[in-house]
Formats: sequence, C-alpha cells, structure tokens
Amino acid sequence: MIEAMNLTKYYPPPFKGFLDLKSLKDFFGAPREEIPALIDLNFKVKEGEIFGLLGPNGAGKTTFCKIANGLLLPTRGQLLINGYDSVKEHKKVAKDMFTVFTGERDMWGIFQWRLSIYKNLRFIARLWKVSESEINKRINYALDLLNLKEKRNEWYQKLSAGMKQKVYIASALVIQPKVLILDEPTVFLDIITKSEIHNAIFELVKEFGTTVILTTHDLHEAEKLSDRVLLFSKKPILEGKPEEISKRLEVEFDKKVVALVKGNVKCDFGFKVQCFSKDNVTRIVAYLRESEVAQFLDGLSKYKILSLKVEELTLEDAFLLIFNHSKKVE
Amino acid sequence: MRDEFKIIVEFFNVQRSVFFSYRWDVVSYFIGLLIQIMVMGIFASLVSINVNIAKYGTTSFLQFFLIGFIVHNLIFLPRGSLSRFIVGRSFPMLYASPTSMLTIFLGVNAWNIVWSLLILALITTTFVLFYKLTLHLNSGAILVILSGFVLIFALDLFSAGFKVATKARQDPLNWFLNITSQLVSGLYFPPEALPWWLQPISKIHPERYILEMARLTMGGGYSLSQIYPSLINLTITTLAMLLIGYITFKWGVKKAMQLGTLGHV
Repeated sequence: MIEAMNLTKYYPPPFKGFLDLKSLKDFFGAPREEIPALIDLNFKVKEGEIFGLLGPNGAGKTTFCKIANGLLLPTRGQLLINGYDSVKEHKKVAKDMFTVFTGERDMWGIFQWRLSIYKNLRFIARLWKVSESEINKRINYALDLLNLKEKRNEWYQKLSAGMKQKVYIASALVIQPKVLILDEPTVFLDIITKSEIHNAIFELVKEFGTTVILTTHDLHEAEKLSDRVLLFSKKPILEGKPEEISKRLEVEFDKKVVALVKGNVKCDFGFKVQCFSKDNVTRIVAYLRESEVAQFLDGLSKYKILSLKVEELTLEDAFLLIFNHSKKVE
Repeated sequence: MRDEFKIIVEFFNVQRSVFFSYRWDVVSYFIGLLIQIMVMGIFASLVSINVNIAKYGTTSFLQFFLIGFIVHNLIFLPRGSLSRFIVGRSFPMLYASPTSMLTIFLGVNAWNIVWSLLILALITTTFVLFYKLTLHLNSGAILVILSGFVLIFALDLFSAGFKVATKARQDPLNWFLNITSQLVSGLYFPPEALPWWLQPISKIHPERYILEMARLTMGGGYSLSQIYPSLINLTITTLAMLLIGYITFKWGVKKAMQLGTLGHV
C-alpha cells in the first residue's frame, strides 16, 4: 500500500551572504548534499493499518509529508503509494490520498475564513472529485460524527482552534481516501477534542479501510492510535508495535522507577538515574533492568521516601532515552 | 471535462461568496469606481495636447485616453494570475488534490477575471453613453487584445518561475512592467510627448505597440490587413516570450521541488 524505499532528502546549504558564490553555484547547479532531512527511510504500511511516524521536532516529518504530496523531490529513493511514485505520478496518487496538515500551517490556507463550514467542506469535496449525490450525505455524516452539526453554517473564522482541527478531520471523512496522512492532527488540543478526533480516525479505518500514516511527536497519541510505529530522527531508529518499542531498546531497560524523597539527594546510585531537587524534596527517575530494581530500591531505602512508583517503560520513556535525553539521566 | 468545469464553477462560487462577504468593501469599491470614472472623463475632456492624435486613429485625446485605459486593463488581466498563486498559502493543498493544475489555475483566477471583465464592461458602457466614446470592434482589435493578453501571461509565467525558485518577495519584472506601462508605453499620453531620454525605453516596451494597434483598430476602425505587419511582430514577440516564460517556469518549479520551497510560505 505504502512503501518508502531508501527515502532520502538533503537540502542544499543556505546562502551565507549576499555575494556567496559557492551557494549561488549550488542554487543554479545540482545542490550539494549538505543538510540532511531524511536518510534512508524504509518502511511498508499495509492496507487499513495505522502507522505512526514518530520523531522529535526536526526529525523530518514535514519533509516526509511534502514528498508524499509531490511537493518535494527526494535526493534519492522513492515513496510508493498504491504502487505509484508519490512525486512523479503525483496526480494518480492524489485521487486516493488526503493529507491533514495542521498546527501552524492551518491546512495551508485552503479553508476560506469568511465561508461556512459546509461550503468549505463542499469545496474540498469537489476538489477531490466526490460525486454531487454523495457530497451532502458525507458532509452530514462527518459533521455528525465530530459534533459539528450545529456549526454547519457558521463561518470558519468564528471557530475555535480545536473546532478548526475537527473540520480538517471532517474533510478527510468527506473525501474518504484510501490513504490518509495526518501531520500532527491533535497538536495543542484538549483531551475531549483529541478523543473525538481519535474516534473519527478509528471510524475511517473501520468503515472505509483507510490506511493512515500519523506523523506526530505525541507519544500517547502514537501509542493509542498506531498499529505500528517507526521512531526516527532523520534516519530510522526503531520500528515495531508501540508496546514492543520499549522492549527493543538498545539499552534494554525494563522498568522505570519514580520516587520522591525528602532532602537533597546526591545522584550516586550507580544506575541511569535522574535527580531533580527543589524545596528539600528530590524527584528521582531511574531506568533499570528488572534484575537491578531490588538493588536500586535497597540503595534508596536510606532516604525518607515520600512516594514510589515502579512502572513498565512506556513509549515516551523510549522516546526520551533514544533521543539523547538519556544524557541527562547520567 | 464536465467535472473540471464544475470545479471551476465551485472556485468561482467560493470566491464570489468571499468577495461579497466584505459588504462595506464592496460599497467602497463602487464609490471608488464612480469617482474614478468621473475623474477620468473630466480629465480626458479638459486636457489638450500638442501632439498629432489623429495618427493613432483617434479623433480626440478623450478617445485616445479611454481606449488606452480599456485595452491596458484588458491585456493586464493575467498579471499575477500565476506568479501570485504559486507562492500563495493555499497552493500546496490545491497542488495535493487530484484536480489538474490547469483546472485549479483557471478556477483560482475565474472570479477575478469575470469580475474584472464585468467592471470593465460597465466602465466602457459608461464612457460610451456619457462621454460619447466611439469604439470599433473588429477582428484586428480582438487579435491585438488577445496577443497582448497572452504576452502579459507569458511575462507572468517568467515571473512565476523566478519567484517560485528564489522565493523572492519582490517581483522585479511585474514591478518594471507596471511602472513603465504607466509612464512610457503611451497609456495616458502619446510616446512622442515623452522626454528624449525616455524614448528608448518606450521603444522597447511591448505595450506601446499593443496600444498603437488597439487605437488604430478600435478608434480609427483600421482593419486586420492594415495592421497586419505590426501584428505579426507582436505575435512573434508573444510566442518567443511564451516559450521563454514556460522554460523559466518549468525550471523554477523543478528548483523549488529540489529546495523544498514549493508551497513554502
């Protein structure tokens, strides 16, 4: 369904000065491979699967979305969607694909501010060639599912940020694409709106067999929605089911211990431990192997423990450990 | 084909709704238009100029001036049609849709073109009714206007290629065209009234020749065969610019796709 094969993008270096002849040469000639945005991204996504592309800011998520939408030429490799090259055969890909760009990009200005939600959705349905007989039916269905029915005739500009994002998802429900790319679909949203959007995504997969690529840095969202996750930061790091990722960490930690202890504690436990002291209370976070837990707790017992939690590693912990946050844990 | 037409109509309806949603802007627009028509008419009626207007096929400065105004606005309709759209905010989502880029381009500009033509028709009718403007409309006039229209589109193609590749906020070509067309092309005054040092720029300005032919055909009633040699020159220039514009545009889009600036706001 979707296959990334050695997908790589290097951006040419920016101009350093007004008369930067080297950069000028890059601009007119073939750009030097200098600033990596994606390096050898490889993955396959099956039909009806929700695949999470998880990475920190600057990992290359938007670069991936631009390549998927034919807006950016990869330096090498290709992205196949339904068997078509996403850039070279873009219009063939586009008829079965929809991308929800959210956050600051505001769906790149396609929604008209002084137009009702209904008219905006109708316009998008037309662009994606939804038949006239289906348009109204699908708009009603989408607005109903996302609790936007009462806002149907309201101007887009009068909606809150959360409602606007619901409208973006509604457009996906109207188009009912075979492939849906969601670029951080719930960023900045409250729990209720997030939950409504998550339900709509599940509905799309269940009812229409849509294949979803979710690019996000929201770990809980990736964990909740994705069948599989690819952790990447320019290059791929780990791929698997969300619950498996933590177990497949290179460092192979099993447990996370979070403790609050009285006093300013010196972090000399001999494990990967992070200590934060404030107002004579220290918060200790330790990433441990199963066999090390008892030894760590023994070392901790000499302090007055205010609270103690021993947890399984989550995707968020994996994320923190992988993306160099582990440096602070030392 | 029918689907594509329906999409253009949808673009048109959306843009029309948005335009009329700014009610006070529409009212102000019509007030401004009324003042503009009055001022232009009074100005053109009062001015007398020491140049042989008859050689342009026009009987008075009023006719010279008003034909220039109408033709200038007609041929400049495509200005910015592509160069503004391709660097606009909505471009990436429109590009990502399965609708062809030609349909999108026509759709994006549909309202602007239709509205501008309606307003121009209104202005022309007012000139004819209230300022006794005489206009001849023959195949020569239509071909001159069409050639000018395509030429300005070709220049906009060039400009769009330049803008999309460099992400320049400035548009030197359109800026140059705009300024020089007002000053040296003979839009308001015959070019020979210009100082000697502006004459060379006037002579290389394509709008000068478009306006000359338009005045001869629309004002003087010259036929296609009478302006034929100049029209051939204009057509060759237009075709050459269309080719250059197309090559620049293709290069610009390819460069933007390499740099990641296509649709980058």
